[in-house]
Amino acid sequence: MDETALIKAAQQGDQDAFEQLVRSYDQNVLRLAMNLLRSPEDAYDIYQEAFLRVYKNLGNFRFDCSFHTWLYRIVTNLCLDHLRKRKVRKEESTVVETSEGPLDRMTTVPEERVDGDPQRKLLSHQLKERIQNVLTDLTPRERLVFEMRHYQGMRLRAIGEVLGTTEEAAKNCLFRATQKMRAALGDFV
Amino acid sequence: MNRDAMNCETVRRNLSLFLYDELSLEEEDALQSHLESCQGCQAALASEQAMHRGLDRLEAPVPAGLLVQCRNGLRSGLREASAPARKSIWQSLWDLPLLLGPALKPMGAVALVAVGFLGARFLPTSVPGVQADTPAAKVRYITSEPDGSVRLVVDETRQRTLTGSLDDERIRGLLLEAAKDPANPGLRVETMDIFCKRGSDNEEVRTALLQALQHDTNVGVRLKALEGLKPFAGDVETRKALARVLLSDENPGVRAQAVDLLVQQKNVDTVGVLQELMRRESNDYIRLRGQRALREMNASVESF
Repeated sequence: MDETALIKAAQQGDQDAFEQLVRSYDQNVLRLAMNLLRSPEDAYDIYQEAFLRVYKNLGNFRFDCSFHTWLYRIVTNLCLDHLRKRKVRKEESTVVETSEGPLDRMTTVPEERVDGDPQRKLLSHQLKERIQNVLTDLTPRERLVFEMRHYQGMRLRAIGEVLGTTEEAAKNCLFRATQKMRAALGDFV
Repeated sequence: MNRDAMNCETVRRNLSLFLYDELSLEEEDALQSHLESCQGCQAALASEQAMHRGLDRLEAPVPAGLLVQCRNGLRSGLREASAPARKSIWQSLWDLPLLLGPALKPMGAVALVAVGFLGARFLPTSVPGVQADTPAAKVRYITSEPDGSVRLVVDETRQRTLTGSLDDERIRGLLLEAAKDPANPGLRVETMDIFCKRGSDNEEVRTALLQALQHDTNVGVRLKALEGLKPFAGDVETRKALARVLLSDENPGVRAQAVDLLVQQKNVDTVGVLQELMRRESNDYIRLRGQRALREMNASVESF
């Protein structure tokens, strides 16, 4: 069944069609949320909220845009809200409290192999700190555009559609994000 | 942007967009043309490429099992989202004239007749090995047809009885799903019990037992999972799981069974775990079992 048929079937209450639809996109949605928020708990919440919203509002989807764009509007709005709340609460500290004690969120970032070399280990640690700082420096919108272009491989035109802006505006956003990355990480990579 | 306008500064500002293949053809031509004759910008490009590769490595990996947890959570969420509106098909049809309004009552009546006719004609009567009961149903979608009839799309939940062994992939698949049903711990215990008695040599079953042992919130399920893992007490993955449970499970009954299983085989890989156990365990029985095992392995009770 092609995607249009799946969506129509899901709109008419076909649960299997809805599940197939979810499975076509959910890995990328989870990757996006995990990479943006760097917390499995938050990524889990975004996943649940996003697909429950899709389920509740699928009847209103009128094929005015692609389903991918519509879904990503929901996901990115949720992620933006989350990132903005974090900014307000100044919650970008790398350490979070979990049921198993304090956990450094940056441990979710794979560390470059340092082969026991203390000098490289130090550099790797400094690199992590710099990344954390530069991620905090990016605006939520810059961060989102960067994530969608770099890790999800989406074209700027599609990113613009998702964010309700022009391709040019998305390009400027990506440009600012990469400039900040370059300024912060240039001598490390 | 024409070719002449691409000086070093413009090229370097655009290198990242160039690597993302987001420049216009004209800009790309001008940039490449400049690069051919400018070693400084070639070095800047190499540096930009290194930064992109560095950023590739920084993608936060999705933890193993998170996708499955998300999918299971969504299933529960969807069930909850649909539950309040769930009615029997007969109740839904009874309500139909009210829903449609007085003007459409004749259509509602046609619908009742049509569904009655279609139901009698198409609902399965009997399938070998399967007993069909009255389905629970919910009207999802209603459209008026030009001929005055009404078309209904109905979700049906039909109970079926399946019989088969764990070798039957369909039966095993359903049991593996039941083992993860967050809403029904009783069902999970029953499933673990079946796995204990009948599924000792199946890899999927072993994985389900390991998952339940380490992550299920219900003590009864974890104890049953431990029982089911007895035949696997020698394999590395099971021993690692047992060690984790021994040091972290909040229930002393689970920890006691875990230590019993772990020390059945005197293996040096358990020495460190048992020494750590001595440091943090308060339960006398578990401490005793740990001490005895360490002595039998000629290992110190304390770590240094």
